[in-house]
Amino acid sequence: MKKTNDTTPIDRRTFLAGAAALGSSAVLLRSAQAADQVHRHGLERPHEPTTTTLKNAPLLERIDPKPTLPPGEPGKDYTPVITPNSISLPWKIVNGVKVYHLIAQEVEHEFAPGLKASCWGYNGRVHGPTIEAVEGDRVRIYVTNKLPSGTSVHWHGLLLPNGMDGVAGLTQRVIQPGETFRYEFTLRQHGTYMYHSHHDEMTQMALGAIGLFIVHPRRPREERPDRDFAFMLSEWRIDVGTSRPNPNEMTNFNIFTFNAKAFPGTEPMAAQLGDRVRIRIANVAAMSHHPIHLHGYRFRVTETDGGQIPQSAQQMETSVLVAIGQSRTIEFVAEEPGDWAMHCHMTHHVMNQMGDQFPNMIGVQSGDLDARVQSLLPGYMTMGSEGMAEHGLHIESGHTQAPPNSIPMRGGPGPFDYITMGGLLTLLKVREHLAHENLDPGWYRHPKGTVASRASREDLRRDGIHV
Amino acid sequence: MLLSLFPFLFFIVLAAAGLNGCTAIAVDPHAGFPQVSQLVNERVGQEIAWVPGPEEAAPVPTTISARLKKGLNETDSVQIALLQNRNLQALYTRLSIAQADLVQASLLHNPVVDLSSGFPVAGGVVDLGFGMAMDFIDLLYTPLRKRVATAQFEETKLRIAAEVLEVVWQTQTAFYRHQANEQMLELRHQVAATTAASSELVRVMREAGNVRELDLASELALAGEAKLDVRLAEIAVRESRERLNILMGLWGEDAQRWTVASVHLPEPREPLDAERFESRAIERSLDLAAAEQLIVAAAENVGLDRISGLFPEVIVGGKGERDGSEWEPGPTFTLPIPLFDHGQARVARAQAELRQARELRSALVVHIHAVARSTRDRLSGHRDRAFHYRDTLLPVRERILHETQLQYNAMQVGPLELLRAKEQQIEAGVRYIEALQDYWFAHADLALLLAGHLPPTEPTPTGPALEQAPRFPFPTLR
Ligand SMILES: [Cu+2]
Repeated sequence: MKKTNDTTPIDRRTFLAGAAALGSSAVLLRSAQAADQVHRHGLERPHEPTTTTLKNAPLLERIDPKPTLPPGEPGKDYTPVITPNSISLPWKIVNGVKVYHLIAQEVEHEFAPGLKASCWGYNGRVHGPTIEAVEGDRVRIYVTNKLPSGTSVHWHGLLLPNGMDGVAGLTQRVIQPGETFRYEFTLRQHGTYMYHSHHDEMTQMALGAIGLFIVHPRRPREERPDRDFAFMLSEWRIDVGTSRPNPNEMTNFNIFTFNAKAFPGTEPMAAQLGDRVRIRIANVAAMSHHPIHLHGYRFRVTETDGGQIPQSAQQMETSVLVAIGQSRTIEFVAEEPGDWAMHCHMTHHVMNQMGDQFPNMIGVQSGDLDARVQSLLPGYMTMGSEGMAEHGLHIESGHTQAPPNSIPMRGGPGPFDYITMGGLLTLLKVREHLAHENLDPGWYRHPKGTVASRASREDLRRDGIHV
Repeated sequence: MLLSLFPFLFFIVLAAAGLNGCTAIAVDPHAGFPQVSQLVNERVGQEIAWVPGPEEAAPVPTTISARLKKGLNETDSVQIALLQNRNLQALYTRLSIAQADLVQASLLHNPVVDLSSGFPVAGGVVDLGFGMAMDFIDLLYTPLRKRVATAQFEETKLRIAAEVLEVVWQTQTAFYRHQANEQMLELRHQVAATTAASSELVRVMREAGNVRELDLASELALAGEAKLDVRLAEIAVRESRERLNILMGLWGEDAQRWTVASVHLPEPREPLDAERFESRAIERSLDLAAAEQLIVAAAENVGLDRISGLFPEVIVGGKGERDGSEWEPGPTFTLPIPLFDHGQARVARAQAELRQARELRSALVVHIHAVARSTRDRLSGHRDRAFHYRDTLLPVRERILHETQLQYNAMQVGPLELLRAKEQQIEAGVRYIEALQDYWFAHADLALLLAGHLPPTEPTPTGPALEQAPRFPFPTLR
């Protein structure tokens, strides 16, 4: 197609070039040093900004032209993020650069007690550990491929030189099994981002080759949170009785996870009364958007993966829709103690290994049929005629034998009754005193008279309720 | 002078009778049966009985009644057939016929007496003639004829023994089929119960408003077909039962009451020593022995024809003639001159028949070898098939059922899938029984062959229960 005028769409390279041009001389100096450093290591010279003039100057405001700064320190520059059921990837500083090492590999992963599968992850985890850094940090990330297939890592949402974008075939060679690649760039933004394989995406992401990439602000505009939680949503197809997610599945996902854990495998968030709580939620599921609903609070949506939302534009919500490829950050003050559910509001997403091939048995009066069928099949009983609620408990108690390595429609035990939810469910536990910072404080002890209970006869009589 | 003629004639007849007396055989209505009985006993270890009696069926002896009451096994059914089968009784009468032929062959032609008279037209005394003649050469030929007939009698005994063995085979085969049919019926009932349960389940699901009328109709169709399969299996059981009744010669109450001791076909036996199959089949072949007797008979026939071609008959006799008042006795001697027919055609025919008998024997040897090999292979093939079902497919179906039950428990598959898995497990059982039945058919074939008789060549028919009921009786739409 022939270009007709000069107002062509602006690509990132042009942006970066412009950004550099408008930046201070320090940028140029630091860039030159970095380039030199890289050169001395005998590696490819990264594509650094040049001094080209840019045409659409007003749009440049969107890009933070900050230079590489001294490595940010946890506690001092930021409140470290808590990734429930996971950790942050360790790093070291070499010549002012934060150096990380990701190892892509097959990992035996437990989704919840009773369900394990062979997945693909990083550094022995599924998903990979959270990469945590600070705006202005220079990061160098080595990626070693120990998978049986080629791979690459894309830094989802991050602004970086094109050749660091990690799209196999398009911006780099495939990292072949056994090879180690180096990625290096300066973080020019803050927010909730991700990393994930960008080679045979369908397979590798479905098997778990994804992770969180949290960039803290160097100088936050708002108060720092006391508790900063990060979650990655994903979905899987693991047929009951199998032990490997099926990456070919397009529609029927039966395991939905927070940080690759399905309830009751999810580690709760613990917060102290009055804590300023931030929850970051990113989603690179295959097919599903997830409206995540938090009980007990209304919260502000403070960030998208594009950046911070101006305070005046922040919405108050009790649910936040996190579409595929997006991240959302919410914040609130933990002012109401208790055990609060946070879950996806798609009802099938709070189910573990539901069988959607099971016929609708609701209301079926089976009469003496069970006895008749038992003469042919001794283990038979008609199920589901009153719903699925009892089923998980039957399986759990061993009354009903399910295939090994499966958690069909299983929930978990609660303080009052069996919780009939699984999947995308976790708990926010707010306590006046937390004995241990990040540990599950156990079930909430409700003050007397604050738990719904069976209405007394006097209550009913008093209020004129006839049942 | 007539008196002087008689001693001469008397001498001839006496001499002939004397010679014949040494060779002639007495008529014995049971001749040959002991040998047949011994042959059968040697080969199948069971007794046969010849009860020439009223043609209508005799009452079943109490010993047999007792056996019938306790539930039949295959050996019992064979023994009863050997004692009671009416066709066998008819078969044994062929022994009498063959023995009668043998007796006939050993008898001399009767002497011929002829009287003559002459009436002189011009007047005078009536001429009287008296003659008595006898085919003297018969004395020579009778032993030859007897040898032919003896060989034929031997052949008959062998053939009858072989046919008795065939009745044993028929009974075994019918017994296996009946056992299989009974078991099939049991399984068809199970399939029907399974489909009845699934259609009932869909009916209550329909009542709850959860499935379509279409789903219910489909299930009802399956259940209906399964019921028909039960009906077909019942017909097959009735047929195989009546086939056994015919073979065991049972009628009346006895035919109605008996049951089989077990509806389960036994498992295949250890493979027989394959090395000696062919030679044993040849060694023990009654068919081959009978064919050899035919060769003997044909060879004797050639000798007979060769001699009788030259001297078909020599009539020796005496005659008296009264010429006036004087009797003039004198010997007579008639001899055809083999000028034109010196028996060459008959000899050629007999020789051709001998060659034919030899060729048939050779053909039979080839045949027995081939049938022995193919039967052995069929036996081991069906044995493998049966074991493959027993050791692999049935356990796999069992496992599928178990796993489907687990998947059902996990609510991953519905109850209909579970019942289908049960149905398929039963169907695998049906195919196992088919394999067992084929094995036992081949076993009976091989037993028959090794006992000395070639199994009948027509393919063993399959019972109606084994056939698939046509599911789409309509012609293809164009
Ligand atoms: Cu969801």
